[in-house]
Amino acid sequence: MDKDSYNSFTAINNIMIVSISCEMTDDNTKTLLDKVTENAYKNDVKGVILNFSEVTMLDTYLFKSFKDLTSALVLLGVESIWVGLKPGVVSALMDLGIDLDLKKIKTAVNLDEGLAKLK
Amino acid sequence: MEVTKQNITLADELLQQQILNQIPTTVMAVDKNMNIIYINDAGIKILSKNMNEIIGKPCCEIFNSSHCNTEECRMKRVLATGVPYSARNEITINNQIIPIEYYAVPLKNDKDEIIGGLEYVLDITERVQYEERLREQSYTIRQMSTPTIKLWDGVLVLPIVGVVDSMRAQHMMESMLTKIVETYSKVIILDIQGVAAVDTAVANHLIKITKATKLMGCDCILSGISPAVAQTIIHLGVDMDSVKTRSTLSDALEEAFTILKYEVIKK
Repeated sequence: MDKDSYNSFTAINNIMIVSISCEMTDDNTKTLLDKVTENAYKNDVKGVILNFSEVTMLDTYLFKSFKDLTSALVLLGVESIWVGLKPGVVSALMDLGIDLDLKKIKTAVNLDEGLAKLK
Repeated sequence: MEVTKQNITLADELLQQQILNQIPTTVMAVDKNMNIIYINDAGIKILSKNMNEIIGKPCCEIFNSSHCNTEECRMKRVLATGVPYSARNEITINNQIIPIEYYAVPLKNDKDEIIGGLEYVLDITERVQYEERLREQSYTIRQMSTPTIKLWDGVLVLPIVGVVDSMRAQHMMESMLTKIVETYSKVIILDIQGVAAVDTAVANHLIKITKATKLMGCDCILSGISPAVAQTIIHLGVDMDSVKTRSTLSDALEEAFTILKYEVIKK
């Protein structure tokens, strides 16, 4: 029943890299969150990289979902780093005017940096 | 005590007509149904028509403006409410579009009833050209004034000079984010020493920029904060908790090295 768009998970050295696709809908976001948390638990993952480089748009719902995912992973003892957000996406997100609380979100400028931060 | 009038000849009707006709801009009057009942010489000249082609005709037929026959028509509003209105508009004469500003006021009879309206029209072609030139110059200044410079491997610096309004803040943010992606920088220093006035709006623009860079994985340090600015920000109650700040660019660079875990050793 896996008809959501392709989200890939890769694991290296207890670090899971989640490549978020550009077609995130309300439905498959929920599915993705479930999958990531289950995977993190099952495979004894210590760190997660959320790779946003394919994402073309982040609205309030998506942003909150990924923030919630980050917090949920913290509860599981897993650190996560956001990587690859495009300037256009960030600009549009800022224009939404929501009060972004970025204290709980760790970010890195590219995949290398993200992996380095997780070590 | 009576004030004696000197020997001044007041303008008679003929002279009054001449006065109206000497006004270098179009003056016209319409009746309640928006038919033209008067137009001065300047108006006739601009329309390049004869008097009898104009008088008695509905004004929308003659002037052909973008407000004609729409809710935008200010003369319609004046005739309905008796309140003066003015607006910018465009008229088309001989297939040429002329930008104008027109003022409409009501004409009333002795019983204070609205019997028509008076309109005078200013050709603002020159003004529009000035505005266009101003826009171009503003654009040039904006382009010139926000170069993001690579200060060190992984460190960008953006010195800001002048006024930070929302358009400039937006433009700065976009150019910063693009540069961050291009150079994979991990720290960007925003130097605001050249910013004349920091008020709540400017502070909020800066905070928004620091959040945006943070989302891209780049730490933002605000430097060039003067004692006066520091006091102003606290006094305004702006929440700067999420922002790293330093008073000078060199301090900010030191902080950047700390973040990047670089150490400077003297040989």
